[in-house]
Amino acid sequence: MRKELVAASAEPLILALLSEGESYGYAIIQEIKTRSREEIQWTDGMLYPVLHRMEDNGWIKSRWVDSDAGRKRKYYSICKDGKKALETQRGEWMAVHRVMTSFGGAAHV
Amino acid sequence: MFNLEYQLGKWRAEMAATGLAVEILDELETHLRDDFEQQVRDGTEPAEAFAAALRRLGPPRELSAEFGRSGSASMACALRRHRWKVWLCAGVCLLVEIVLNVFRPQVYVSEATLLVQPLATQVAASASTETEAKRVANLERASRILQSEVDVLRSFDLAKNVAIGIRPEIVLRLVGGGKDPNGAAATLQRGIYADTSPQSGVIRLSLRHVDADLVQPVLREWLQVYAEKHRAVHMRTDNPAGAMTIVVQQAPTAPRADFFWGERLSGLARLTLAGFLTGLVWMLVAGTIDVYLGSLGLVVRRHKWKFVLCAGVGLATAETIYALRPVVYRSETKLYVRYFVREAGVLVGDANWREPPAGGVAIMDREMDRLTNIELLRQTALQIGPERILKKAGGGQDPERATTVIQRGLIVQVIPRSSVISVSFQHPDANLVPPILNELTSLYLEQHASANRIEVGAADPAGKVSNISMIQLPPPAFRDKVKAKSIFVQVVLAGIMAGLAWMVAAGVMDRRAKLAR
Repeated sequence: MRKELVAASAEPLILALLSEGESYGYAIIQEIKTRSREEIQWTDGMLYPVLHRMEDNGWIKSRWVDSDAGRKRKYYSICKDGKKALETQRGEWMAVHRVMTSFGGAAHV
Repeated sequence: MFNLEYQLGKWRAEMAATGLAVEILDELETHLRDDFEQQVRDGTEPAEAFAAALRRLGPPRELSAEFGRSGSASMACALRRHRWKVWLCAGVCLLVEIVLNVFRPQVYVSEATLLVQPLATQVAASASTETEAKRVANLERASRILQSEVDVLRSFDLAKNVAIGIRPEIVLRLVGGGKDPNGAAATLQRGIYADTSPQSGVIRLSLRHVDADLVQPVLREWLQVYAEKHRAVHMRTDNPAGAMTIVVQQAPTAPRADFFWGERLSGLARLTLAGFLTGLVWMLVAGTIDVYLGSLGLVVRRHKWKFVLCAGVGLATAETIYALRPVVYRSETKLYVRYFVREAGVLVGDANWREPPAGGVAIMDREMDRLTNIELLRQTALQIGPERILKKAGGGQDPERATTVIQRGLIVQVIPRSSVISVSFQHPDANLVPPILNELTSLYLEQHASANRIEVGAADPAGKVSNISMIQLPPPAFRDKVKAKSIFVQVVLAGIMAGLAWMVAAGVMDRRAKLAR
């Protein structure tokens, strides 16, 4: 998948994932990889700046948690503003999707 | 042999050099560990796994650029994360203030105005005819005179006479009951306020009390008793200040509820503001810990019991010291010095009225010397009985030691910018304090009078007459807590600081031990 598209889709995917419950960086990457059947592969380092920007926007919030292994993890969870942003972005992606499918050639989608 | 911790340390140092915040480094480090472990579980060689993890994360410089100006950005988001602390603190303070206001008893007030005659006309006249310096001097003199009248108006013995006139049980009807005239007087004295205006020679007097039916009659009685007292002092034929008349300009008003919304709102705003600021500081500290100490904040928080323990020990120690400290009781009386000049036997009017310290620092000093005179203290000790004085100081009948005890507990000082001498005495025996103070002051007043009679009668016929009156009788001794409180606060603070230091130190040690491992 092209780099631009990966970058553009990161935010709505993260928001959609966090709307199902809180999670941390490494787990988010693994989850997206599994759900996209390895089609979407993020550069791991890219995720964290995105997460921090989204936190600055007030879409998500974070907290440090002590894991069982004695490791400290930063967990992210979605905020009210994040849910609104998710709805907006979902609408935009669906619009693109509708237009794409209206041209045919992708009937199986 | 691959050493993960060493490699991680190297990587952290490289990353830190690009200026990334500790919090971000902690997060990325956790990511590397997760990725590394997963790969090793899947069968990859450790060195290979770590290299792959690093590759996926990207080179430090690029990563740092991706975060942009992450230092300030993550500070902003840390602050946003902790903003609830501000609202919490402000909210709690607001709530406390509202609750306090709701449960505050309704207080009623009655007001009256007194006009000090010669002052009013003199000041008014001097305003138009005299020089600026003279006018200021006049104003200063007027304010001193007014202040001395206020001292008399607010004196304990005046309050006591009023309480007896109204009957103590009526005064105390709504405030716990009882028949103690001293308690009733103290209640009334707490509610009397006076302020003065030297320009107009006016004293505004107000009385606050929870009993609406009481404020007006009490204030009326107050003016009555004061007028008699005033006359007794000022209307004596040998007293030149007799020329001063004080009239009631406005009789005590009907009671009205004392409810200053302005005052209450400002109190409300102050407390809420204090809460807001506390929350702000809390937010800043928490945000700073998050950004610059990263997960160290979490480690420190794990050790918070150390902090709680130390603070608790400090509090307990302070409580113990406070309880074990010998209790000292104190009582205070005030002496008011009036000082007149008589020229060649002719009584000059109000114009030559002088008041220390403006005209008589020497007079005040002389009176203070008389009050602390060892001979006076010895006489007091003999009158009270050395045995009684020494009962709580090892026993015995030695008058010299009893005198020393009195000397140690006696504090005599001139209240700044006034003509009032405050005499207080403190001692561990509550029942001993008022009698000693009473005995001392009455002996002093006798001696003072005789000393001044000699001065006036023989050696210096055109000399000075000092007139001293007691404006506050010694109230029942009260426990002197002020000093104990400061020790209390110090010990508690020490505990808190020690706990804080221990907590942070333990957190840092934990982290260092982990890195070394």
